[in-house]
Amino acid sequence: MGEARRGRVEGELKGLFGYALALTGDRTLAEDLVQETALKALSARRGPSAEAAFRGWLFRILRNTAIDALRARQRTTPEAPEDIAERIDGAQSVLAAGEALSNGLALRFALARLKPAQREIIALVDIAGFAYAEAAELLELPVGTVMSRISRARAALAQEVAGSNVLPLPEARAAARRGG
Amino acid sequence: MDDRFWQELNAYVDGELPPERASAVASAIAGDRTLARQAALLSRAKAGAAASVELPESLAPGNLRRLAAPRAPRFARLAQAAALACLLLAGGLALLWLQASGERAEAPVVAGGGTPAAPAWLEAAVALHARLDDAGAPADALAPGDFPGLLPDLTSAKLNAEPARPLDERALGRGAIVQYRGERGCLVSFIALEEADTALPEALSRTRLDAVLAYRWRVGAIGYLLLAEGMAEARLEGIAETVYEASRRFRPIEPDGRDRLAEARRRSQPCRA
Repeated sequence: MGEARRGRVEGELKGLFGYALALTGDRTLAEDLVQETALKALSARRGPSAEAAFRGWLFRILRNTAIDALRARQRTTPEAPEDIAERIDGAQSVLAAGEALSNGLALRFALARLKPAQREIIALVDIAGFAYAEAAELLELPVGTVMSRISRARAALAQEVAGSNVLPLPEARAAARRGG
Repeated sequence: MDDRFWQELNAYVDGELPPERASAVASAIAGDRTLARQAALLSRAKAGAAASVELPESLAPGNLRRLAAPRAPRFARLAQAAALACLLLAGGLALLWLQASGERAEAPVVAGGGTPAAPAWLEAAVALHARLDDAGAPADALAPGDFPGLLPDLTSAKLNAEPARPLDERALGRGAIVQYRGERGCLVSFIALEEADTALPEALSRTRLDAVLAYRWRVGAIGYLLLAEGMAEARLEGIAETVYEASRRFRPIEPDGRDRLAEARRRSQPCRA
């Protein structure tokens, strides 16, 4: 039982860390949160057996732990009101960002500049692989709100990437040769 | 583009639209290159965000074992008995699954029977599969974040990924290919296409060309193709089904999927190719 649960927790570590990073914006704090979450999950007497329920339970532990930790440090929690982004033309921003949207460094910088609630929904859906219904349950939101929130968060992400000066190395070299 | 359609495009890329709306968005994408580009870029952003997370060393799976051991269960014997029962049940289910997989693999692989000409995409994929097998290390290897779709970890099936390469073939489209090599002569090619033909069905479908068995499917704008030559059919089908499920959720293969892959590998013969 212990080993099986450990294996399941280990399978979620990357998603948990991405989520913790999104909630805190701080790698060290995120690392501590994941360790604490893993400890809580491994030492709990009971945990859900179904795959999706187990994942939801694990991420809820992390979210609650993060909210407590952030409150203690008087930092912003992800409990932001819904209209978290001004209306951005996502379609145009995505085209403007182009191939840079697959550049890990550019994405990391852009994610760091988003609002906590935007980072949170991207971390859940894109990094941890939550379905909209799963994210809605965790965040206690209607599915429709998750749908609008992820689309606006991606629009904001694309806008940040498009406005970023982080370029893939070959493009950066070409820009440098051009004097750009 | 209005906000409502932008939301639908995002939900389409996430595989979250109901079938009738997904068809409507797919039709719109098929008739609009800009829209197709936007859907492809959204998919890339999704893959890139997942790949941008670098797990610190302290959280590498093996290192988690250094954490405190779980609290001893109160009814340890009962738990052990339950675990044994689960193991027996899982073994039985695995046997049934392998048997069922074998039965499905016996079904005709090309509708209409006979020996119809292989589609161009399949010939191109098979040629690529063979060509890259001998190609050595690529000079243009892609970073994991640049892979346009889900890049599955198949190490539980004892298949190790080689560096991914960009792909741009007329009969297939633009995307990337990665090959997985086993210790018993197995080679699996996995392709993700950025702007898949929306006529490509979302459901997993199977086609054969000589000794090569190929599976393909679509998730939003991304098309996937998985093929191997001479691999035990039940094993390859298990891999295809597991990767298909993971790609639909765009998340790593679940622990039970990894267990199935490992079990299927244990029960299979070495590859013939």
